[in-house]
Amino acid sequence: MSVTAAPGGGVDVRLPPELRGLLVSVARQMHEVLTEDEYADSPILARLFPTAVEDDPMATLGFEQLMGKAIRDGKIEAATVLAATAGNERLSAEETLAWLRCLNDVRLMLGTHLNVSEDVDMETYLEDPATEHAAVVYLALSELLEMLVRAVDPT
Amino acid sequence: MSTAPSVLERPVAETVADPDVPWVVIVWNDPINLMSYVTWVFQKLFGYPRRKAERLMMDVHTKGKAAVSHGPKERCEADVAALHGYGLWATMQKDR
Repeated sequence: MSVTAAPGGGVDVRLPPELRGLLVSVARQMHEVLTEDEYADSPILARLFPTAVEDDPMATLGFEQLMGKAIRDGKIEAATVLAATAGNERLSAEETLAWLRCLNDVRLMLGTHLNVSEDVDMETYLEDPATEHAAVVYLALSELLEMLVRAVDPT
Repeated sequence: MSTAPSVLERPVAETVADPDVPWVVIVWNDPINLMSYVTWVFQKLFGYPRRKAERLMMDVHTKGKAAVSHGPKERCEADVAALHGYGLWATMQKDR
């Protein structure tokens, strides 16, 4: 498994097929969370779209009216690109950006679901059958994201 | 050459566009985002050099928050929107 910088700002990704399959499935899940009404009150969406202006509901509402759709559309687009390019060996700069953004959003989704905190060791989630699967996926995506960041690091 | 005029022009444009109190954008600590990812976002979005991006990330991590940009309301709204787009927990407030 490796991620290396490619000409033009993209990356070359060598990943096991099962991880590529996992990427398709988490990207679709992310897409669903962002587009389907049943998730409207989910804490996941609260984390993906935080309150913008502290202690100022009017300004926050203004922000949401002005920016909310663009932020949401950007996340939906990133999930669409990740699902469509999960099998690719070379990613363009734009596709790489979509992977980085969507992988982070999926980590936020899983981390919120697991209620990840700095006081709880990941082992705790891995040992509990109810959270084991989400924790394994969370750790796998964290490793991939770390590799992507290293490959695109401008310094 | 190309950067000099915009550096000179920006404060003037800001004053004309918004004479009110400037705003500040804060990024808050959260237990999920990777330190390397947050550092990369600060470099990518704001063009901050590595060292400054790392210092801001460490402030977020150890102090719980860091002011990452400031300016007129419209610019801060754009910065907060971009940070939310990258999944960072960002808010804005009047710079008092």
